[in-house]
Amino acid sequence: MACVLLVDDDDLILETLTLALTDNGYDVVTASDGDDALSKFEQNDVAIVVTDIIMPNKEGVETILQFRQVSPDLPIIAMTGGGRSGRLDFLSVATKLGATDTLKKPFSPDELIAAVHRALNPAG
Amino acid sequence: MPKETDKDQDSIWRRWARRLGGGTAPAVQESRRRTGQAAASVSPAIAKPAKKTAIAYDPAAELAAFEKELRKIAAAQASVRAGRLQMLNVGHVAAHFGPKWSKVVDRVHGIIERALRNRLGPRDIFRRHRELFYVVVFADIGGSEARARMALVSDEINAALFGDEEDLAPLELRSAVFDVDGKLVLEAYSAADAIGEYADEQAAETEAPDSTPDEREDLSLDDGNAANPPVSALAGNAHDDAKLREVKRAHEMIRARLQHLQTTPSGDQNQEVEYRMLHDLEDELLRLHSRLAQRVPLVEREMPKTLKTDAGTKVDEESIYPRPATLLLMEAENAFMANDYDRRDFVSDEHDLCLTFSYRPVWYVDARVIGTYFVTAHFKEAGVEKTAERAFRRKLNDDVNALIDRCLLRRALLDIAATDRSATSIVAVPVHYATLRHVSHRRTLQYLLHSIPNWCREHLAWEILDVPPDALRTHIEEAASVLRPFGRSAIWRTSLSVPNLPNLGMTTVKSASVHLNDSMHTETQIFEEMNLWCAAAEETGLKSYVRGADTRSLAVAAVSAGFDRIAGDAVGERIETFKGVMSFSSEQMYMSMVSEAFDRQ
Repeated sequence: MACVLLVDDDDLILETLTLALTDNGYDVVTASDGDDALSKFEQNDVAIVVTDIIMPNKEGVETILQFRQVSPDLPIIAMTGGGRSGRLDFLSVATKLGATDTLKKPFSPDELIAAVHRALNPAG
Repeated sequence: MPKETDKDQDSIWRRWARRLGGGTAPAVQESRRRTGQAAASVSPAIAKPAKKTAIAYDPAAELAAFEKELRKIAAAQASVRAGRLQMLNVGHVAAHFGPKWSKVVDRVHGIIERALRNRLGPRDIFRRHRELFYVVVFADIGGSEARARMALVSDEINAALFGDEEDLAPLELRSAVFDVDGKLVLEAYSAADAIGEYADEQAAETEAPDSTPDEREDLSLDDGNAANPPVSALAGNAHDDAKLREVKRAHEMIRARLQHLQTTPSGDQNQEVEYRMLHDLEDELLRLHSRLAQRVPLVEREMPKTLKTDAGTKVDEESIYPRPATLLLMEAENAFMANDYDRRDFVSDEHDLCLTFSYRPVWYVDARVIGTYFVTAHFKEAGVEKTAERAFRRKLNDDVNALIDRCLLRRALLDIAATDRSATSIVAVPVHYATLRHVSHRRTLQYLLHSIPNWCREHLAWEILDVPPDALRTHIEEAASVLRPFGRSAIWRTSLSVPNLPNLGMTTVKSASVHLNDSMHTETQIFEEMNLWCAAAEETGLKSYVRGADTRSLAVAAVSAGFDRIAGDAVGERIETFKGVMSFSSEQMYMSMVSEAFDRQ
């Protein structure tokens, strides 16, 4: 089954999303920020990246741009709730700069699975 | 006067003398013996070898001309008797500055003259002779008191110019006396000995039953003598403290009324007259305050505070006067005042130090524009760069901080003026809270503020720095009102960790800022703190600014936390001069990365 690289600085979100993905047969690798994600990507056969936007050290959009440089066709899903202010500007920026799809937090496990499935099978 | 107070006073003078490096009775006697020997032949004014490059003057010729001047004064004024005529030689200051002397000479003389005015009464006179000498004639006091006053002047000058540098040669002090043949001689003495000698005299007078009543008893605000207090009065007493409090209260009332008039102008002619009269009255009160303050006990200068950091307790080394940096600031202010700067850096090759002025763009998140620019000063020392405001952040350096404030404002005004009224953006100028609270720094700033043309005021905003977290609301209002008439708004810099924003909420302040570079926490911790800070700012109804968003992750977190305005490398690097309002959206933070990617492809 495909390996999903999950990137978020919130351990609780990582645990919840990992559970949803493994329940649906995906292998999961987790990372706590963009730098960690790029390093895990090198070490694993990753099929898709699901990344948060607001993260310390290297945030999501910057991470997406770097993934695009090393793997132009890699499916990437960006997710955020806009933080305390709820500003969602960076989801549209992520789309413009290379994200395959976006998820607005909060979302259900089904929505995540559907988005991952769509990204991995764009034809249908 | 109770005997205890005199003893206290004596002890203050002795402490002062010890601090200056002398003052014990045997030392004083020994020194007097030595001074007596020195008096027989006048040595050249610059006795000590210059530390740095020699400067262009001839000490012997200067001294000869100076002696001629003294004789003229002595002949013209019958009242001048031995000891009342004092000489101050600032040759060592010139030697210390070396080749930079010509650039700082005016500023240095400004400092010297301020120190003299602080310590002299209105009937005393001083006069500068050429570049290196001052002659002072005391009207009503004796020789030892005159020498003690000159010692205080000397100490004040050294403190203002060099702070706590210890390896300095002292300023040369001489007393003009006539020997038995009627020939004028200049008797050298040290500041420490002068204070010690005076302390001895005071102690002897206190012990003598027939001594004259303490002169301080006669001092009152209505008494003409109060204008020229004896040195003994400089040590202060409760009577003076009470008067000081009265003056302060009166001043506060006048300030409050002035602020009211400033903030609610009606255009009424009577209001203008009232405003002018109150201003004059305020000047009088400040003069009175200054005279009274001279009698306040002399206290030890505050030493650098220790900072508690994650790495443990350490001395804040940055708070020590960095003299070369101060010198560059003085050079910059002179250049700005003369409009002779051409946006250049100010460089000290000798100290591998460079002072740069620049502007930092500020992104208005919701409006999607760059609309404001913070003017900043940076020092680069041996390749390491830090902002001027952080180079001198502690209370010890209020004087230097006030200098930075003026430099930044002057630079901003020159650049705004250069736009020839076509500017569209706003320049935010940082001003330290201490500058606004300190009477003389505030007044100097006010003179500058009043010179700002109305059209320039439309392009100015203020960022008030280093506000103590426990600052009273009245003080906050008072400080803000100094600046408000001269700009569009005042932004209060607060701490990210201890913002104390509710205190601002009860005032007329409408904006607050934080600087992320002030935090020693990790980005994860800063994210959390930004969320809490923004929540408090929103609750208080404040517009929020964040500076130091140097990484994209910090900028993104600042947007999501809810900051209204964001500045830092992630938004835009510092630029030589500010630009107009320009559009800016979140995706522009990634433009450099996108172009890099294209370049690679």
